[in-house]
Amino acid sequence: MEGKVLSRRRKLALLAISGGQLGLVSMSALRVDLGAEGAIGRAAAYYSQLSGASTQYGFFSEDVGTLPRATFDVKEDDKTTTDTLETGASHEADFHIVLLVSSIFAVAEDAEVQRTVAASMAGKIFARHPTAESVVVRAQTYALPTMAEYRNGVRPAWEVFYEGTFVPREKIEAGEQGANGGKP
Amino acid sequence: MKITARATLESAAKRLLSRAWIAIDRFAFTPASAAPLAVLRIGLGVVLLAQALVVAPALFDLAGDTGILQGPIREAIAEKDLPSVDWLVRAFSRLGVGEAPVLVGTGLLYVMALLALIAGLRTRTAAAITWLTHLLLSTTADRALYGVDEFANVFLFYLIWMPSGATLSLDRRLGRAPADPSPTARLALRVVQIHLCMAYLIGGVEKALDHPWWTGEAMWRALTLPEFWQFDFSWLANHPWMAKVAGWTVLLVETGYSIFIWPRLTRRAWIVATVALHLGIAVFMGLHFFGAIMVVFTVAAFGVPAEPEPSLAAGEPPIDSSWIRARRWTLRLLALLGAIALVGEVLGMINAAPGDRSTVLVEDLIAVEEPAPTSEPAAPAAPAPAAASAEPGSPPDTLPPPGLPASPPLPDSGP
Repeated sequence: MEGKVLSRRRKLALLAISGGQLGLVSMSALRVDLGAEGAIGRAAAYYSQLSGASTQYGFFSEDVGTLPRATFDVKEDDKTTTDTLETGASHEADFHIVLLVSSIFAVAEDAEVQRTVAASMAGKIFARHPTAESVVVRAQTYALPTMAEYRNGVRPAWEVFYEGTFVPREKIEAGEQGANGGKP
Repeated sequence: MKITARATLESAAKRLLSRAWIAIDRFAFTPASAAPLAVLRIGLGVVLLAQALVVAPALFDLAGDTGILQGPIREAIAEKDLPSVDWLVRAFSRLGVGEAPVLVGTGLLYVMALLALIAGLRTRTAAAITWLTHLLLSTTADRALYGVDEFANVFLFYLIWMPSGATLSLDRRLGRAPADPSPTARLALRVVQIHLCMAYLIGGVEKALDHPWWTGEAMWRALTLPEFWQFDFSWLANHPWMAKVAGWTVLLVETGYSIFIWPRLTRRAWIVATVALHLGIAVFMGLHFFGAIMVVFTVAAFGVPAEPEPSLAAGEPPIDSSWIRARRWTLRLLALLGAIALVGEVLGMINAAPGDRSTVLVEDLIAVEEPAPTSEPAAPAAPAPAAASAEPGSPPDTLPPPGLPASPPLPDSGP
């Protein structure tokens, strides 16, 4: 594509390619669903995803929304402690983890999927606390008052939108066996 | 009479087309120095390399089969149907290779390709491998992505096609680089510039259509929500005009970008305003890499001069002005990026815990209590539990006002 002199035909071809790319960018920006426009549309939509032309740029436009947080109450040795999935490895790594945790909110319309997502998160906590008897997954969103409400004394609060308790299957089965005098 | 009129019309149309073509040709194909593209390549590469280093300890948490979202769940709720590391894992499993070597191998290949991209070694191949491995890793952890990852995908893709290795590169040193200045460097720069203008215009207009940006509430939320909490901005509630002015300033900078970044008279002011906006996002919202990558784009696309140096007088030794210019701007940019707390992120990495690959599989867990209804957030507001103050990394001297969390939920790994 280099060269100090380009023929007019080559220039037109390069312009068409560049224009096509920027056209896809603008269509995505206007939220045109290319995938609904037949095979060519689907191909264009796939290419847009690959090249990033489908990226939306309305960051923080529909208000600045809060990300949910997940806390985990770990019952272990008759004590209950609270843990989180963030590792403290770095601010950036933890921000990605917070975004991942927020998927529990994104799948809220399907209770079964949400429970599975919560169980997956609980699985990481059980791995950190191998002797834990149970883990309570608590997902919360942050209710931030407006500036006027804040001046009037309203204070932010965490609102629980999901709570579930998980127990390792082996512990339940061991408990059942114990109740049956060790018989399976 | 008719024929004459038609001929006149045709002649006028031809003249118009000819003028339009000359204008387009001048705008899109006047030979340009590759210095802006080289600064973009190196700046983007450095930001992504730093990001890779600080995110690496969480690789298995984010993208592993035994990660926070276990493999099948992650795939089931994925938003994009694009190639991912999972595809590679399945392909290599037939050869008896496990998940860990494939995931780590992809990550290592990404870092090596980034190093080659920064050095300008086989620049386009390096860009292609960087883009592909970035795509594979991003798709695998697509629920964990945000602006920086999306912009990286776009501009890595562009780097495959643009002659960014034409200056300040090993390719240039080894005589493999394309000619510089070149018409294609100009076209590539125009695509980058127009794309940026579209991104800012869309971002600005969508914000302008949203009431909270006019009232200052959006600024209030951006500065006080826990995930972005860096400093105590609760005092802003008593000075709402400041939040309002800040919101208006963001709208002005973003919506005005596509207009005022072009004329020479206003360009420098808009570059400074845009860089300041992104420094603000980096410092006050903790989005260091997003702030850094956006600074790279604007400085490279509009800050670095692309006009070739005028011909030298006879007898003067030839100088590689593109190389010198690209080096000067790259050094400036790297100094600026250093100031955007990348150092803090890297220091955080030094204290990083090793990647945790253990988990208990979902099928080995039983939900013993039905979860609360989830269609709407639970109505009664629960005050922040004690856990908030027990979270690591709470800045000891940043005591929040009553009711705000005692510490941001994200541990601050800064120095």
